[in-house]
Amino acid sequence: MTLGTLVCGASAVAGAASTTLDHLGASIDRFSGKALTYLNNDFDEEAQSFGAFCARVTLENACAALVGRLDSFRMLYLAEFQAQGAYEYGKPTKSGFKWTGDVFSEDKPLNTLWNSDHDSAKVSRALFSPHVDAVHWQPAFNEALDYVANESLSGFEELTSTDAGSFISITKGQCAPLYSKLSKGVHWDFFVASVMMDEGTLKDAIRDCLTVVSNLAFVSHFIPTCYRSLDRAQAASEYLAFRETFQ
Amino acid sequence: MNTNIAEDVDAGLILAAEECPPEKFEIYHSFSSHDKVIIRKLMAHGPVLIRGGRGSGKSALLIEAHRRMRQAGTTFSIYMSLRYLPLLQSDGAEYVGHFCGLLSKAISQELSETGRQVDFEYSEDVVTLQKSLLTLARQLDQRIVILFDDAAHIGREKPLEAFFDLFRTLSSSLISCKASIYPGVTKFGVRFDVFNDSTVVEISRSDVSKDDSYFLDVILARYPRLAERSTFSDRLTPEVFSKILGRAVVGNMRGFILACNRFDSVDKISIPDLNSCLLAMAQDYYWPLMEEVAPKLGVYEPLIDPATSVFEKIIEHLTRPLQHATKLIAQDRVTIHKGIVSEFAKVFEILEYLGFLAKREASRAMKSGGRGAVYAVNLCSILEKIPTSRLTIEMIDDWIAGRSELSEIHLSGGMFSTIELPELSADHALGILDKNIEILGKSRAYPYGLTVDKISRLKQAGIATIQDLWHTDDTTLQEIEGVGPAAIKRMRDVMQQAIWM
Repeated sequence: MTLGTLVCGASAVAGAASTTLDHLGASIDRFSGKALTYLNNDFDEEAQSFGAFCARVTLENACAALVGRLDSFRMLYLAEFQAQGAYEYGKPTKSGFKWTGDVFSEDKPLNTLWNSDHDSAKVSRALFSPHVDAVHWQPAFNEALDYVANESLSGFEELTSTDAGSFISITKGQCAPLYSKLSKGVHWDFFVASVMMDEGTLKDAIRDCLTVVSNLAFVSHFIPTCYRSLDRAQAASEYLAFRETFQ
Repeated sequence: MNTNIAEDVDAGLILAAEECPPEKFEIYHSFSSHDKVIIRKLMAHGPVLIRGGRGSGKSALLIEAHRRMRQAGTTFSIYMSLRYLPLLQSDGAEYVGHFCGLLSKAISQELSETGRQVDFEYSEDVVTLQKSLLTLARQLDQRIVILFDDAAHIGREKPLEAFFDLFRTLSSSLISCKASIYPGVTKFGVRFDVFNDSTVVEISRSDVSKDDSYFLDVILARYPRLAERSTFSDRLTPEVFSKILGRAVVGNMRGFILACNRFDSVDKISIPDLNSCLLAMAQDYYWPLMEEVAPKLGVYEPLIDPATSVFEKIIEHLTRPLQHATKLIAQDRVTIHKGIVSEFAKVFEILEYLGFLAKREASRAMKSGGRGAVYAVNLCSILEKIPTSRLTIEMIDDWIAGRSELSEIHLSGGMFSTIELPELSADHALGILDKNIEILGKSRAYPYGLTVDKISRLKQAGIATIQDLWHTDDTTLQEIEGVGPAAIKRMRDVMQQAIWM
């Protein structure tokens, strides 16, 4: 079982969006596979040097793929943009994929979620924005819980111990520090030895990354408008098979 | 059960990891693979809160993390139990002062015990303490992990705002704070965002755990005789015995150990023996818990009666089909509509905290409409109320496998409508401190309690309340005729049990 399939789903229909998700799925598999090896094996220098990088790529690509499955336009725009000659490695890209903006909302949350005075252009469509949470994640989470209960599935205790209203709040709370923590490992932002990632910290971060990504990915297949969703039974079996790969 | 354990039981120590002698900790404690993930989280960078009921094993996990960090020597860790009366009785700036002073002392002690030749300045001020901690990390060239045990006590939620403020202030990339809290903590304060300022880990050692050999492993480690096939009759095995006992106490480790202790003098264990144990647990453990805990709940003390009523009604609901012979086996899990859970939130927290029931799912669709939380109910209380009070192999099989469908309690049924929730007074002090020391006598609530003779000697010496005993030092106690070091230790142990949850 691969995390790439769980996150990106599958489709028999070819097209630009599908090709992009296949590409992201392959990246997720490659880096999550490495991260898993670092998590499950004895700690060594390679794990310390590259563990955070592999987990960070997994986290970021998985969130990008989920954004793409929920909002194909955003993903197609990015794919199209990067295929143009204007895309230069040496220049920052203003419209590129951004953690703050695409995954976390850029602005402070609105006081009231639903109000006719809201300018729709300013309503964030970020993966964890309050509106995306209310429209997509909360109903999907309840659907997922009902499926797990109706099928009497075990192995979903982490999901069933929370409710729809808390799922994204908890996920956001996990993802924000995880992203920063892993970034420090990527940029090797350590000026004193005592803050460098040791075995426990790195393995804990990798595990958190794989857990949070697989939870989000599983629930995404219960969003009716989500692109390339797997059949629920397949999503459940892919999830359980993936979670079996680490403790 | 071996002799060493018997001695510990006699001292009342075996039930609480924080009071277990360090040299015996490894022998008596067993950790599942899931526990090991939590222990790693406690050793890693970053703030963590571990949440679980009384006796769920929070302290054991903190102590084990501390032991491992001490052994590795690459991280400076401090384990600190917050069981101090000044902390329990203060709030705001006073709480902060006590807290910083106690933490300073704990750090100095740990430095000394681990042979690190570094001094740590005593401070009752958080800014100085924070600076000193950062300096210490630089001096040691190690990150620091501070494990706060018993940070949150139900009924004492006001000082929690001060605690979480300190927790947040002290946390940095070099200082990782970890704390154990109980289910349903709400007073995090305005500065503390529980999801963003910490990772919350729920401890649930349950019958539905993936690691279903966990309770057998505990038995193997602590009660080798109970892990032998020959100890059981034909219809019971150590595996079944450990699983049903774990399920009976809804995964609560303290309840599990107490149940195992009851088989100390049984040569051959059969289903009737198990039956007797569960019934005795209902009478001697669960119901006395209400009595024991009530005076420790402070502002929530008046909720003990409603909690008792709510629980009795749940049990009645689960066992009624057997009274009318519509079912042969009682349902052991119940979905309770979220409207009810919300109305009786603190009552459910108390029941969960005490281990009468355990939340298994946060939100499940109900057949009768709406959503509710799923609770597993302790089998001892269920068994007590089924018509025959007789445990059968069919029940054991059914309860272990979790086969029976869930029972439901819906909002429209009005089952709890007659239960009134009293107004809570904002400044209700902890009643336990003013209780007469007579309550420390041997009883169902305090099975390792004091003798009539010792209580009488204390009273003659002018020690009338639990608070008096707290404030009397060992030297003064030893001056009382007939009171020696062993008696003093027992007095302190029982007093600890009385004051703390």
